[in-house]
Amino acid sequence: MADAESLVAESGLCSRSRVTYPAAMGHVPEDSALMLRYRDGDIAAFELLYSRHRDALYRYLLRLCRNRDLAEDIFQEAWGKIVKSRASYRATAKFSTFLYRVARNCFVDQLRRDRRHAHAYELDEELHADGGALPESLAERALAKQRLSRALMDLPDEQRDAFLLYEEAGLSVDQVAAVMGSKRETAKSRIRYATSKLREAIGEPGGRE
Amino acid sequence: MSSDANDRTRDQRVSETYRRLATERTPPRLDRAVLRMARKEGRTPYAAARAWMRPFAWAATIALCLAIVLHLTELPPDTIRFGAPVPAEPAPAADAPRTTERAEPTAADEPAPRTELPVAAPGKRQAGDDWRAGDAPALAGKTATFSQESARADRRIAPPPETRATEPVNADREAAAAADRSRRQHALVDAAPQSAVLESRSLAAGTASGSGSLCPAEVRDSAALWHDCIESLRGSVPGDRLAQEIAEFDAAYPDFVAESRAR
Repeated sequence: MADAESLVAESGLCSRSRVTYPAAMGHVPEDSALMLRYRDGDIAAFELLYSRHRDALYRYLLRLCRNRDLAEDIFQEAWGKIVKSRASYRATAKFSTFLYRVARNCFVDQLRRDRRHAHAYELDEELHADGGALPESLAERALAKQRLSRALMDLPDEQRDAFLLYEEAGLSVDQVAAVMGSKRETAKSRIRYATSKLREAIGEPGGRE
Repeated sequence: MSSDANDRTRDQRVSETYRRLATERTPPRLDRAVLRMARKEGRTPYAAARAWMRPFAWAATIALCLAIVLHLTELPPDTIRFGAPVPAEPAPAADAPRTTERAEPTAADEPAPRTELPVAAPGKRQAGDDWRAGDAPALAGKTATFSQESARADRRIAPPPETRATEPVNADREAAAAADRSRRQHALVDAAPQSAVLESRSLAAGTASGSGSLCPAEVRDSAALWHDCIESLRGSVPGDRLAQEIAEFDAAYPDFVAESRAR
């Protein structure tokens, strides 16, 4: 666990989470190259591309929508649009930027279609199930996770969106701005405000039960 | 702890906490649905062909470029010909007679014309009657004219040396050559302006210059050029030297016939 934490700490210096990428990055083709190969009929290229980004996108939509069913619908719709746009795909930007922009647009379109938000996604169920049997140290971590999850849900939509794109998708500040359609400074301030609030939520002793 | 250190630490802490939080995985049914859709959309009648289209296009382009380069490099060696040197037909024809005729100066026919002009030529030349009488052309004005006429005259050069060398010299031929020579001299004279004649007569009064050809060797190889050179020297060299040059010219090209100068 210490090694994993140190590894996470080192990767955290760059503020990027690459949990979906395989460990061996020696000769892995770029996302854009895989997409172009899929455009030419290579199904295996798409399967590899999908395996790289599916979990991160799912978690992003899960916390953005705060509803599992909605997140799954948008997830499938977003990948459907990616598949249908393969013929006209041009590697003008990073594929991850393109993917999350499509997913966010699908979320915005869904919000416009259905003004009624679903109830907030409850992560506490899983945590409660694990927290009871955990040792004290792990219970503290579980509490921190719970507080973070709650604080994340309480963030304004724009700040939450910016934080998830930054942390979950691993996009840069410029890419976050491109996905959200805002200026760089705006995206940077949103990320900073979100991080500050989450830090306060984690840092409060005892948390808010 | 500084606020900056706190921020960095807490940022890392937030990231670490979030990574511990974000453990959800895509449901398998979602994976199946998406992949099924991708396979269905990706399967096109031309999918296999499209996969080979780009490499085939590259290969065709490279082959075409190679074909063009090979075609350009396979030009025949003599495709480009520089202008062939002017076939100096008169020159070889003139050379032969010069060599052969000079070999035959001892023949009975040769001395006659040679004696007529070289011996009498100085006198005549000094008198300036044949070359300069009346119509000696200006050096600058008539050079081109004589060149043209000389070129025409070259075309009327006598038969090849072999023929000349083998044919017996007869009096008729010699008479014809003499007539041609005199006709040529008259033609040159007719074209000469009066002023040059006066000038040449004044030069004729001068002493003959030293030995040596007046015209360069490469000029002497061609009857027309040599003739032109002699024409251009008229008025600028002593008459006896000019006469000597003329004599040498007649000896080398006895059959040279200049076109009529009388226009």
